[in-house]
Amino acid sequence: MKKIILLLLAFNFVQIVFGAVGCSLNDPDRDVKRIFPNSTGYKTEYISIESRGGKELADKIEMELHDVLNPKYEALSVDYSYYTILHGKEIIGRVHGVNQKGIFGGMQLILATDLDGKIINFFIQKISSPHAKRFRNKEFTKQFIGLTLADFNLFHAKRDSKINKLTSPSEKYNDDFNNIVRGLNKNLILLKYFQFEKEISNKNSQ
Amino acid sequence: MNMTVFADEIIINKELNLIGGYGGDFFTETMHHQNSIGFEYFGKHSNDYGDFLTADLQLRIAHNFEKETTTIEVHNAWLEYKLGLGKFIRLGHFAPAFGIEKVKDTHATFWQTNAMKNVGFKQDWGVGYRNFWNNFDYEFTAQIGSGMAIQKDGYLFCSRINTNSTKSLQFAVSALYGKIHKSMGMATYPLSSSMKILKKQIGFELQYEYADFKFMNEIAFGYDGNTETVSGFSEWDYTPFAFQDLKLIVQYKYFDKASNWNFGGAYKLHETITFSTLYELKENRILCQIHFFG
Repeated sequence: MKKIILLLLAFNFVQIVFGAVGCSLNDPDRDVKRIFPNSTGYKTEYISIESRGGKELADKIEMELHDVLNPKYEALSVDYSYYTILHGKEIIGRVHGVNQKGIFGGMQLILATDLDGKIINFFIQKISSPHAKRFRNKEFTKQFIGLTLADFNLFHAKRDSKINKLTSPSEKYNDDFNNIVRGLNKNLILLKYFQFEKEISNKNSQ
Repeated sequence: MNMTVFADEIIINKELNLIGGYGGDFFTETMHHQNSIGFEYFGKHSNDYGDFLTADLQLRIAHNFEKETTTIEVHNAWLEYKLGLGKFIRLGHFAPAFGIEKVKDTHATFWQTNAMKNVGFKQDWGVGYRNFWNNFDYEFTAQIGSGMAIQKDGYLFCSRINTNSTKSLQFAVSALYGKIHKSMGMATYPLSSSMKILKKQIGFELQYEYADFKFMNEIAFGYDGNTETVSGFSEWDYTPFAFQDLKLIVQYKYFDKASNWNFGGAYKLHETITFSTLYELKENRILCQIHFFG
């Protein structure tokens, strides 16, 4: 097996992941075509906190998230799927999801962002809740369009932020609304460290 | 213009499957569950225009402690080439486009569908095409009708159409026609004896997720040779909201006037380790499994 892997490495750029992949799209082609109608393709990447900085990066993420990562559901070894959306050879956006623990089970929160990390689409791929329909409703999810990581940072700094103006679709299960906000915050923090910091480092090394 | 250099993505998982049970006597395997060790290679290959090729190879070496036999099982062994967004052509060993087996993950779990009865096996060698249109996914497969092994003189044609697989409520219709090798056991090597049978089936599925419940249902009608067949499958999964590492499962299966109830659950001990237990009412036996995948 090692010989095969070394052979592949010698012939190509290869990203090898040992272990399970976390939140990935059930039907990426359908989602990509719906969100980016002029897309001609996409590239999938699997990235974990472990591979991009380990405990040191996890500490940074927890600090920005103002919460700790759950060791079972948000283990550092879990790989996140990133879909870089292309028109020909040009990158036109990204789609990326996270798992988030909800009241009734795991949620899968998927974001589409532009090249600056601004949310252009948000949908819930999986949610277990008696009010799942309300949380999936476009009237709720479209509130998040236009948000960036800066909005969440303002929210944590207890300053005027668009996050404060968001409304929960369910009074009874308001904790799931808070879980969604946390999950989307985590999603954008991971985007920053997994994609934007990589781009800066690539540009600096050129 | 924003462009970047992409790398191929490869995921490698190791797998260990430990089985045991009691039904009057202790046993270490059943017809469909054996102690095994294996791996899965999953690779996505891309160029400047994105992903174009996916490869999956999943092999297991299974050992039967009672018969003292060791077999090689090839599960997934396929290449999928992307013809465009949503359009894929697949070549190799994969699930025929028939029934709920196509979308339910039954690898290394006790919670099997009726595929072994309706089709005769879970995967077969051949070629397939899939695409989507509006809110529907559709798939066609043309395979050799031999299941895990590679045997001559068989064929299997299947097609399946389902509503959007990302919705809570899903429906599907599928059909199959083929002359298949109905074999005992799951080995790719060595070959086990088999008999050929002409099959015609049509199947209907319904899946629904509500809160912490998931319901999966399937009925199929058709002919095995000249014999009329009717089969039914229903599974209810419940994940207690206060204890989300646990999944409780009830299954009802019906085939050829015989029915069976299964009760049990799966508990996630660790990110990579799951403990499962199953009580089969008809056989009056209990099975336990520890499955490592990671």
